[in-house]
Amino acid sequence: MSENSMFLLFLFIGYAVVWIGIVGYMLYVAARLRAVERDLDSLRGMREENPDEPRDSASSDG
Amino acid sequence: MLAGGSRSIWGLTAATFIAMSAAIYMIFMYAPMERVQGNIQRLFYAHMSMAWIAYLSFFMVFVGGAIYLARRSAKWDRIARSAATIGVVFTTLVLITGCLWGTRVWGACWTWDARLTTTLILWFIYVGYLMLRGYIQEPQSRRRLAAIVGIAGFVVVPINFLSVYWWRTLHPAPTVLRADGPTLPPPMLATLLVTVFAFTLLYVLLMRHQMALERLIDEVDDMQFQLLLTERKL
Repeated sequence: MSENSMFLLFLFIGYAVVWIGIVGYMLYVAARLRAVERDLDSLRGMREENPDEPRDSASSDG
Repeated sequence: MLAGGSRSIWGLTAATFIAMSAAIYMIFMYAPMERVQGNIQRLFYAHMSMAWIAYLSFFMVFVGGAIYLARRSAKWDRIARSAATIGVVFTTLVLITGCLWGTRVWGACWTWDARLTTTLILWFIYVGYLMLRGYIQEPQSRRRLAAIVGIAGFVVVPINFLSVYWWRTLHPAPTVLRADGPTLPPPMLATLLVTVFAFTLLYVLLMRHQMALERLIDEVDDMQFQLLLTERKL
């Protein structure tokens, strides 16, 4: 393989890594979002079954 | 695909797509081939833009942590946490693209050069920051401690930037942010600026999605913590 072809191969691998990394991260965020939404729904269900529980949130949005 | 369907999100997504397409066109079609390094030099445009995003992210971790400590606002903690996650993703990509470039140009993927070593230290600091958050259950203590680590960790960012001036390194010196002005030829400089702009738009977009996720995680954490308190009372 010529020197220029090797440079092009490394360039291709480099940009492939960049885009796989960014798209992979976006897919991870989307998957986490769905999982957290499911958790939130089940917790809301548990809270409705437990009306004695305190309702004030620990976080403040300031 | 991701959170939020508002007009501003779609506008930002479209702007990012257009800017990124322009950047890719300029990198491969417009920018001339560098005489010594050949085509592998085209990796530099993404490498440098991602390094900028990593710096910006760690600066946001610093700012978010400092404002959280001053105001105790969960929103600023979420900003810091989101920025740290994105910063780690981009620092990882910077290290990988640097390794690929180094393999062809230096003949080595890695060298214990000051710039490379401090970049690896940065990566460890912010991975540690994210891991630390996972170990502390109580939300207030977690946010406070993470803010302190995020502020202290930022000290390495200026050291990383200035390392090429302070020590003799293999890593090339900056070609744009110089006292005597940029040394890049105008087509290369234009390509770099468009790429940096495109990655900055991508960063804003990713921050918005990551923030939406972190808001839901906070809600889940608070509800779990309250349920735990209720169970202990019973």
